[in-house]
Amino acid sequence: MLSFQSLLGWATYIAGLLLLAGLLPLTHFDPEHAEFILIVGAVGVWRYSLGILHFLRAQYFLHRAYPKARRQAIAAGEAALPGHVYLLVTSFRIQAETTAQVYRAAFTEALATGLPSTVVASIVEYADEALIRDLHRRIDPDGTVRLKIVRIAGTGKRDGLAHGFRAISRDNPLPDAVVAVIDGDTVIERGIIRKTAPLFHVLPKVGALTTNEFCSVDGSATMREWHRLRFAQRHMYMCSMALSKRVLTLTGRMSLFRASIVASPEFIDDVQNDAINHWRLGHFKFLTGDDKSSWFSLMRMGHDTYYAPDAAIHTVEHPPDKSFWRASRKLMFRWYGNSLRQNSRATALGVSRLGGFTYYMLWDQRVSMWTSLFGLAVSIIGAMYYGTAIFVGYMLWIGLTRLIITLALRLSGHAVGPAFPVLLYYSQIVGSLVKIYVFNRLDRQSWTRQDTKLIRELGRYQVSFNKWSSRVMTVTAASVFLALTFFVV
Amino acid sequence: MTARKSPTVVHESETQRQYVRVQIPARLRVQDTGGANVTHKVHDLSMGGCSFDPDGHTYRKGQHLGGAMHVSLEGIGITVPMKLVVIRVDADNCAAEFEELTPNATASLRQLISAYLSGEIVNADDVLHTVSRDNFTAPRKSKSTVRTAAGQSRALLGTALSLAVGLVALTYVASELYGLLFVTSSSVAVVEGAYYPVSMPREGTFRPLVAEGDSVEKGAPLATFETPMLEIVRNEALAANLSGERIEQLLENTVKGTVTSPCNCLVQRQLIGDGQFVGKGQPVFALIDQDDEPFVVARFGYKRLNDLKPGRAVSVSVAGRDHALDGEIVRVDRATGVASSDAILEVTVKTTQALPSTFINRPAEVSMMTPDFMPRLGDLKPRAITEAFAEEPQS
Repeated sequence: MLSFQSLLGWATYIAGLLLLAGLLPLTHFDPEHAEFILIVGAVGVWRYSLGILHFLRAQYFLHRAYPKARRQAIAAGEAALPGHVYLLVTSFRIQAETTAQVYRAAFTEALATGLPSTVVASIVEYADEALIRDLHRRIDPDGTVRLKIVRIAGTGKRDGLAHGFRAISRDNPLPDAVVAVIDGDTVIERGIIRKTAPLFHVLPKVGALTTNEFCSVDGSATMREWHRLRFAQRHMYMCSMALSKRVLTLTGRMSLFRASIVASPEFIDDVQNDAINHWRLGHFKFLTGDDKSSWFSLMRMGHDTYYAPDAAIHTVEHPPDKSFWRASRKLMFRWYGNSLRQNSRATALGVSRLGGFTYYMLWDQRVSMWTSLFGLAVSIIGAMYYGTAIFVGYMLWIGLTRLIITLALRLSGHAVGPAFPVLLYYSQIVGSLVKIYVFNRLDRQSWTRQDTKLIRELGRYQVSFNKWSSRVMTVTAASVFLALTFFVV
Repeated sequence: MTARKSPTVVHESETQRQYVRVQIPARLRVQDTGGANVTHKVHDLSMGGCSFDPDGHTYRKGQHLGGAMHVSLEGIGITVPMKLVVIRVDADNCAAEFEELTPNATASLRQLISAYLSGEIVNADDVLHTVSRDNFTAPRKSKSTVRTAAGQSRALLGTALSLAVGLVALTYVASELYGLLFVTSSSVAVVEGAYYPVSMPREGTFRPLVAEGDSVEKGAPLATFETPMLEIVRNEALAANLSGERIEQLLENTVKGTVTSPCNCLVQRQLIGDGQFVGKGQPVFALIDQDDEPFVVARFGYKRLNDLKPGRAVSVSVAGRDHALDGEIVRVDRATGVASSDAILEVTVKTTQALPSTFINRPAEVSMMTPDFMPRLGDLKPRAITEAFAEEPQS
């Protein structure tokens, strides 16, 4: 049901589009400049058909492929259930209320599975240990669920995960055991294990799977809408990629792994000590993006990754800044940095390991930051040469297409709002700029919640070389892009 | 709140090892390098492998062994068949990793180690050891990330190369932007001058006497033509109802004529080929006056009205000339005929250096800096000129 506010929002949006249409002179499509309109059109056809392909794949996955797997899992009954369930939660200095909520959900879920289960708490603070023990005693007085506490020095999430994984591997897990890796701010929904774990039985090649995600945002209305949009988009892409069993990220929030993988030394080392060798920036460790490391490790070992759209987790997002503009940039800096750091080595796995569609999508990640700016750049430069009608026309086109994309997202099952089309374009343009910036500064990474930064013991020359060469690369990339755009127009 | 030690809570602080190693009394029976069956004392055992005392036998790293592990615990003995691969060899210690453990063997080992660890089988020394060990370990120092000289020079070279590409691109973008912002160019322009089309006084076969590029005096012959007599008297001939014989005669007889020059001119173009039959009034030559200096007529959009004043310095580029010429606006008019909105003002420009009369009818571009104190950035791009080629030259 539409609220008055969202109704007003939609009305304003439509009115804005009509105004743009009114501003557009009749002679907009001037055949004299057909050449560059043709090029822009060709780029547009490429981008939009890719979007449509994602949409169709997601719809097929949601309505055909996934229900089939789900039916098979239900038909397999008890046989499909794992022999042991591990719930690994990593917490580091999170509000006590959130921690309590998260572990309460974990213990309750462990009890609800009715299966032998262990909660592994990978923590740093003694206070957390006391809290978790107390919760365990209250929720599970009989001690049905085993609790393992792994306390390490606060050297980062990757170490926390690795020590948790090792604790599980020391337990010599059964071959059919599963491990849910849960973030310290994620509250899992009751029944999620019994819903997702049987999929491993049905899909023997799948090594890990991740779930749908809904969030509540501790921030402004714009921030809330932006996060909702992001999760709606994520859902669609995840569905599309899951059709090829190549979900591109195993969300750190909550992913389910086969215990045999989690216990393998290769996997643990990949997660703990992930690093890349960059031709310009040298060898550096991954700080953020443990979900990308686990994905890469699975791919390299030849496992599939999957998505369970009907199982969901609920997260509480704390934007890193009060201002939407700054917070969104910080978040995008982290997200896109992770995926671009991942990108080059992921493509190196080759078509045979990744499959054609996934391989193409990874390459596309590198191109998309330029293509989404191309239309805007052409319309601005075109307007400078041939009059503002070109820009107005382009904005009208953007307004209409974003509206259609919003409707497509609605069809994937996430709620949408009137700010979505605007935020979509904002994400696209600002996101592309952030991607270009971060692509040339892959060694710069930081958590948004904590001020942990990667400290590399490099010489002074290396530090200033990395700084200046990053600037050179950014300016070069931007200049070549602009030169091409000027050339086209 | 005091934390009561719950038996289900396990403190984990082992940070270096993949599997816990337990010192269970066990013996490993394998075939040594020579093929003989030997039994070794096992030092410790984990899910991943074991270490044993080679007892004088030689093993090499990577060697595959087949055999069985025999564990004896106060009266109970368990034998687990297994394959191993040697991963480290010291004088008194040999480490081996298990290979392809069967599910049965895994289950047996699991049972054994778990029971041992949970305290069902204990060894007093081990308990003391667990209690006394350091519960926290410092994070491992990451390996030094100093780069090789080759890597460093490759990074430097790559950056320098992209800097070069970037500078070229940046210069191009800057000049385009500068032109776009500070240079105002005519939408269309052409070199004009006193231009004389010469046409046929009557129809006939055309015979030129001069070639393109020749100078001709006023009244000098440019070409001759031959007209059949019949063409001249056709109407009368039809009226007179002449006989076939007479018509034949008229056809054979021809009248000759000359096309003469109207001025002291230069033959710019010959429009008709030698020996062609040409209709009356059709242009055959394009002549240009040598005494008159050519000028440039350019068209601008209406919003440029304030910039276009007589006396304003402009730059003129003409197709076929490499460098732009300086010029000055002499007159500003409203364009005659059908004019689009970006060509509504017609400006006449006189160049400082006289244009040769051969340039008449060539497309040109008139441009100026707006505001006029902006410095000119080299010569203008010839793009606008090529665009103008598509337009019909104005006559």
